[in-house]
Amino acid sequence: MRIPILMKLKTERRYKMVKHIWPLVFFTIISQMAAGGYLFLKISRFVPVLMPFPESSVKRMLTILLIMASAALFISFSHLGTPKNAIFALCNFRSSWLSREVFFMAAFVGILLFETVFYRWISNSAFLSGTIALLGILILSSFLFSMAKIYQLETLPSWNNNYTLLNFYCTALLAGIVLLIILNPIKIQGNINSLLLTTIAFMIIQMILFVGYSPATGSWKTIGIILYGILLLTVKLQLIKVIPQNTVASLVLIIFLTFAIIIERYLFYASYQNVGV
Amino acid sequence: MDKQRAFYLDSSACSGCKTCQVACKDKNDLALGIRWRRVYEITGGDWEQKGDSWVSKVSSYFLSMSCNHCANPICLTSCPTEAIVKRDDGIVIIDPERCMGCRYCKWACPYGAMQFDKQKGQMGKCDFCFDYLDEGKEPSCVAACPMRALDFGTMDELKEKYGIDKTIYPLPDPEICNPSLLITPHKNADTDSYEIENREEVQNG
Repeated sequence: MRIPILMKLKTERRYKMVKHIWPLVFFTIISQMAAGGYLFLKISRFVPVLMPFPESSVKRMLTILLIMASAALFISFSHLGTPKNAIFALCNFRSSWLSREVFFMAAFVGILLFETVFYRWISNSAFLSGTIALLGILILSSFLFSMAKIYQLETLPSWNNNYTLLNFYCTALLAGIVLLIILNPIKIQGNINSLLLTTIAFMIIQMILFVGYSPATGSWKTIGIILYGILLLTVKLQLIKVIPQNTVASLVLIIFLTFAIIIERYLFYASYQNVGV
Repeated sequence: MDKQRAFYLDSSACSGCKTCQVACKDKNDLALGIRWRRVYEITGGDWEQKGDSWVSKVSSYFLSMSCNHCANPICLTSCPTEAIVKRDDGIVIIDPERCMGCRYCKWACPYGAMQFDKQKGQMGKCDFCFDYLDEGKEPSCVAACPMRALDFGTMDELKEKYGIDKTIYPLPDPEICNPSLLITPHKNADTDSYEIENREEVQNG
């Protein structure tokens, strides 16, 4: 006869994260930023109203996204105790979400590299560019899904919920949009409004998730909420042009957003809790 | 699995002396901070005033825990490099030629079995002293226990010998990984009857 176990989850605790997790914080943020930017670029190919940027800036954006994704991959190696064995990381694709994440991350870098190198050839072919766009959306969606599923283990109750999944997708798309705004100087007034509206929508979703569903509590969560509130206000003011729609304003926006995302991600990792001992 | 190797712990006899923990560290030459076998003390309860006197209602018991070489090891399914393998006799081991030290198995394992060795940059855990088993010897922890609270064998042998199949706090639902572990609980293991005072100490090892 098995006696059921009662395990109380701590809801009030001091959050502390171990040092070796910091590379994961920056790996997830930078890779999600690049993934969100690329995903949004590809989606906007089918929904042009979301893409007010001139075609001439796309290659530059792709190059920067490639650098970011490669940097994220490099950072992830610093988390490993024995990086030389990382070549085996694809072996357990059958059951390990970490293996799947590595695969889709490599595919992401691969597709970015391919598209950057052969950009002119791809952009001249509607069929090729459409196929790459669909493939890119599939790879990036799978990458973000795999990344979230890593944390949704039965033995990790604070992470094993839909907040993790929604948060990762939302962070990626939100950070991606803001990154695209900053990468493109705004030359034509009014074209940025659709992007700003989309940014506001994602920020609202992100705030609701963070306030309502994040397992974190305490003063750092309050700081995160305040930062998102300031960001929301800033974007709204930029939309109605109280704050000018220029590169400097966008740069300030992305710096504050990055801080908010770092705090949120720190709290996520610091809320690690395992059933048992 | 008929040949599944398993541990038995008589928690009612365990005195918390940690001889098993030391024997394991000695045999495997483990570095400071690494414990492949860990002894947890679970305490709770309080003193109750009865008239002019105080009566102790304090409860405590000990749990000696290593890797449970689970029938469905979550560490094995989570490991991206397939460094964690399950032998025919059910013993779960780590292949140092493949482990990249990502620590994902440490997150996954609900028994705290996975220990990261900073010097080697890889994970390590109880291997059931399979080298001793091959020589016909007992695992070092079992041999060292002065209270004879530890035993080993196949799961079927232990069930027949002890007839116990219980799980106690702070162990998780055994349905998650199906640990190859049998426990005779201490009389104080009924933790519904008192408030545990050192949860954080227990859960942080």
